[in-house]
Amino acid sequence: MIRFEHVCKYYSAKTSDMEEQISALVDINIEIKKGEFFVLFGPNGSGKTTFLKMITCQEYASAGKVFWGEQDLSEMKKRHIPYLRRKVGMIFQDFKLLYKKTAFENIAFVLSAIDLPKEVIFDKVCRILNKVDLIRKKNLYPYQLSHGERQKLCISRALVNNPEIILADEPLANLDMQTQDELIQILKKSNQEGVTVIMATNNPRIEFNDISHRLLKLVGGKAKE
Amino acid sequence: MIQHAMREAKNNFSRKKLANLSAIWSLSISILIMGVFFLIGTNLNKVINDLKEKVGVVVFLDDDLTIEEISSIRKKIFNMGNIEDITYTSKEEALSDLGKDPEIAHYIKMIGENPLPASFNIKLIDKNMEQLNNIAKRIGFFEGIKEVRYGQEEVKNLNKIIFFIKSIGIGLGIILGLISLSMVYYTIHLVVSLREDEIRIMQLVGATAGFIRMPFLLEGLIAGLLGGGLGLGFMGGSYYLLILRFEGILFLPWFIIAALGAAGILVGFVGSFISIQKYIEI
Repeated sequence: MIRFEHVCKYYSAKTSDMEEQISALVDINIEIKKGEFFVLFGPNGSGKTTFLKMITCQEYASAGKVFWGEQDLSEMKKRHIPYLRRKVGMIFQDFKLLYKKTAFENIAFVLSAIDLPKEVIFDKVCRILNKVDLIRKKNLYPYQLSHGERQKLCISRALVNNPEIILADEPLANLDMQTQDELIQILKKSNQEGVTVIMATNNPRIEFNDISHRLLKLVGGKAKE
Repeated sequence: MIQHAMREAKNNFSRKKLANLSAIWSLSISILIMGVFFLIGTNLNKVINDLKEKVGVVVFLDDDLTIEEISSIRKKIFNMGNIEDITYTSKEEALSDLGKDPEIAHYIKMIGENPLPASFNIKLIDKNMEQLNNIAKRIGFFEGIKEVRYGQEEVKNLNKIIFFIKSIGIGLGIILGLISLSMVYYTIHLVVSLREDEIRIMQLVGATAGFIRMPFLLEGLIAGLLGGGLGLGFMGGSYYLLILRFEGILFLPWFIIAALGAAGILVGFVGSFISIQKYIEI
């Protein structure tokens, strides 16, 4: 489904008197199959977020190619990118919730952004909030929710439109173990329903537990499977 | 999508009412000023057209011409083409017309003889300056012609004044239009920057550029429409007050009104388009 072929990503950084190239990813070759639960494991700065961003065309490879099916993402026209992103549910490390909107509105906003009718939005949002056990808190604002509940809200927003892939960037950060387990269960359940899950994390629990089908270690932008 | 865009545009408008009202006000003043200059130009054009109607070529004849010679000159002039009418005024008739003014009659009495020449007053069919100039020049070469006049200096000067006034109007309008454009730009920019997080999330979840852009464009269009409408409204009101005091003043032709309205909408649209563009990069 998603294929990285000799993908490299460099950033230019200017030091005092010269320009330096910083490698975010170095020669990544990997194929992620449909329905897989794939974990990217690595410390901060290892290139995990860059890897995820390439799948949604937020970043482009400096060398190599990224494929979604047969489509080379570097050749995708800009006007087609929004339709690609509708197939993806994203869970962000910093949540990216809108703090002036309620829990319900945060999820509904995503569906209205893709121009779904009001009745459909209401139905979908209620169902997903039910699924993550946040339905009673639908009228609360993010600041009124706990850290774990905010992350659940984030996951709900990612799942609400039945995506083909979930990209989760450090979804377990700063959560207690019980909440981590709850969230992993939600992701596993979605995966069992056919959704491909790609999760980036530096949580050692993930490295040593049998959560994923496959785990790829990233160190300094290089892959170690 | 349209409903969503209109709802969002309305929300954006309410969020930054003062900034939007400033942009609308600035735009309306620009349209008003441009309109005033066009109004002055339109009415001066009317004056010049009226003048042109009266302007013909006046040919003053030598004093010692016989009736046959006068008739021959008249025929020659008529055969040049583009002549609507030729009216002959004899020396005596010219004296009689001028003598109606008692002061002039007194001076003429003092001179003791008739200083006024006989003349032809020629009306042309096509009265443009080039034709007038052409015919006057040709007549000037005829024998028996003392002088040819056609009010060329007056018409030329008026044309220059009109051109000058219209140029100032357009120049000022452009400057004010650019100021209004930048006001619309900054107003939309302000609203967009307040909603930057929302826009970013919309892009990440698959909203198209058009979907994100449309509410802001609508907001700019509405500001442009209101600004243009207000400016034209001020113009209409001012015109109404003017015609209460002065008769015969023309209002703007419909195509100028339409152009000013369209200019207002265009400024609003362009200002908001430029403003949102950098936030839309996918």
